[in-house]
Amino acid sequence: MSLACMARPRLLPLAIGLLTAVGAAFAQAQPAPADTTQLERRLEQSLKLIDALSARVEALEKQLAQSQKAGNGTAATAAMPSAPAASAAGTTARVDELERTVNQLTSAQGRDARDTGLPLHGFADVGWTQVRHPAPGQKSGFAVGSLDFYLTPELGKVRTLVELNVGIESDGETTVDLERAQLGYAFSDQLTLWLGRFHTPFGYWNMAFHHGAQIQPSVSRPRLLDFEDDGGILPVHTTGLWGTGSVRTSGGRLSYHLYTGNGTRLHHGELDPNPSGDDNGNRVVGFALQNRFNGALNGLTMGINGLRQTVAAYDDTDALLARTRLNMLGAHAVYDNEGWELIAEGYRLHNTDLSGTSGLHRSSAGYLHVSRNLAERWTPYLRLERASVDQADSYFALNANGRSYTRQVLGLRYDTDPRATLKFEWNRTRDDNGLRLNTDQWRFQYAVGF
Amino acid sequence: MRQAPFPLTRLPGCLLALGLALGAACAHAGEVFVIANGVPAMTSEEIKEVFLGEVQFATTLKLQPVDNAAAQADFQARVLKMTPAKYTASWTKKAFRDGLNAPPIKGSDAEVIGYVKATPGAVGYVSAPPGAGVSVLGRY
Repeated sequence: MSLACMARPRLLPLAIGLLTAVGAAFAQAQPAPADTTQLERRLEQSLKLIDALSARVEALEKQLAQSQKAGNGTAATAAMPSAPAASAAGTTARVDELERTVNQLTSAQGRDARDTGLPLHGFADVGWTQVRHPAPGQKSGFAVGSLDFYLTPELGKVRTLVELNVGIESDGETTVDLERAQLGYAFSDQLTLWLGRFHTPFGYWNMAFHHGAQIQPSVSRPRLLDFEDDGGILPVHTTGLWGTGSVRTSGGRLSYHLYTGNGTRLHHGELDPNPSGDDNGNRVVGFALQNRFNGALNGLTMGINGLRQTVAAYDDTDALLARTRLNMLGAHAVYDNEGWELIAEGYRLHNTDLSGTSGLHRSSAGYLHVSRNLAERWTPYLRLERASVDQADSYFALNANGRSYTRQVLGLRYDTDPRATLKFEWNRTRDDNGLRLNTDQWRFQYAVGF
Repeated sequence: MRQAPFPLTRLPGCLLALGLALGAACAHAGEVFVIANGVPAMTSEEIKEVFLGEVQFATTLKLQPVDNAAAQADFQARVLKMTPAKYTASWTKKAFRDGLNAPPIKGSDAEVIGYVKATPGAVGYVSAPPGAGVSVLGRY
C-alpha cells in the first residue's frame, strides 16, 4: 500500500479541521464592508503583480534554456551529473536577477516628478450681480470675475510662487496684474526667507483667501480688505523681504512673520503698493504672530499683527498733497472645526499727520464672519462689517473709499465638488457718503479651483 | 491522456500554507504602515503635519511625503483623521497660501516602497509590512 493511500483516511478529517479553523479565523477577522472593497482591490493588485512576476520568471527560464541549448554539447553532457546543483544555482541567479529588475522598476517609478514639471494652479469665477442704489461705477448683470493663475515650482529648498491675475475692469478693459512674484529659500521649518511681491502678512483673510474665489467662504471680500486697485483702505500687497516660520509648542503651532518693503503711496485716490520702487525712503515694517491651538482648543487660531509706514499722497499731477505716518495694529481669531467657521478680525489705526498740523487720528475697522457646513456641501454664512474712520485723517480723506461704513452679508455656498462652488449672496452696505442710502446687492458666483 | 493524480502527501503542507496566507491577509486587512527613509521617529500628529505641509524638515533633512492611491483612504481616515474632500481642500489652500505642492501620488505599495528606498527624507505609507530597506514609523 502506498504512503498516499495510508495517509488518506487521516488527511480528510485533518483537512476539514484545518479548513474549518481557517474559515472561523477568517470569519472573525472579517473586515467591515468598506474594508472588504479595499481588501479586494489589494488582492487584485497582488494577483496582477503575481501574474507579472510569473511572466517574467517564464521569460527568464526560456532565455536560460535557449542559452543552454546554444552552448557546447560536451559541456552540457559533463554538467549532467551535477544537474540538481546547477539547477539550484540557476534558480538563485534567476531570483536575484528578478529581484534586481523589480527593484529597478520600482525605483524608476518612484522617482520624484515634482522638480521636473511646473505645477500650475488657479482659480476662475463668473457670476451675476443685481444692485439697488449702486455706488458710482457699480453695474448689474452677468460678469466675468477673474482668472487667477499661480505657479509653485519647488526646487529642493528653493521656493517660488508666482501669481498672475486676469480681470475685467468696470469699463470693460482686460487687465493683467502680477499679484505675487516671490522667490524664497527654506532654511528650516523655523525660517523661510522670501524676496519679491507678496500678500502683506496681516490678519487672516488677506493671506488665506485673497484672489482665491473658490476657497473664499463668500462671494465678496470684507470691504475693509478690498484690493488696493478696488479702492481698498489697507495695504494688502508689499514688495520687499519677508521672513516666516513656525515652531511646535505644547499649546499648538506658533508661527511668525517679519517683513519690510516699499512703503505704499496714495495716487489718484487709490493705494499703490509701489512694486517698482519706493517713492520715498520710508519703508514699511511689520510683524505678525499667530498660534494654532491643539488639544481641547483644536481648530482655534489666534493672532496679532502690526505695521508702520509713511504714506505720501499725490494728486493727478504727482504733486505731494500730504504725508501720513500709518500705525496699524490688528488681531484675529478663527475657529474652524466640526463644520463651523468663525472668523473675526479687527484693526486700529493711529495715524499721524506729518505734513499738516491736524495731529493724531484714530480709526478702526473689523468684521465677524460665521458659517456652518452641512453634509460637506451646503454652507450658509453671515458676516457683519464695520469701519469707523476719521475723515480728518488725510490717509482716508484722500482715498476714494476711505469712509466709514457698515455692511451685512447673508449667503449660501454649495460645493458641487471640493474644487467647484456655487455661491448666492445678499449684502447691504450703508456708506457714510452723505447720501444716507443703503446699497443692496444680490450676487451669484460660480467658482472653480484647479 | 490521464493527468497524474495530485499527491495527497502534499495536501497538509498546501493547506497549512493556504491557512497561513489567509491568516496573514486577514491580520493586515486595512492596516497602514507609515514608512520612511532616514527620518527619525514621529508621532501620528507629526506625521499628519508632514502630510499637510506644516512640517517640511527633520532637522536639516528635507522631507518628501508621498501618497499611495492604494492605501490613501485608510491613511486619511486613521492617521490624518479627515475625509478625502477635506484633504483636497486643505492642499488647495496650502498651495495658494504658502506655495507648497501636495505630495506626489503613487499607485501601489511597490511604487511607494521604491520611492522611499530611493529618496532620503521620503515618508510614505503602505498596506502591508514593507520588508527591508525602509524604516517603519508607525502602524495604524
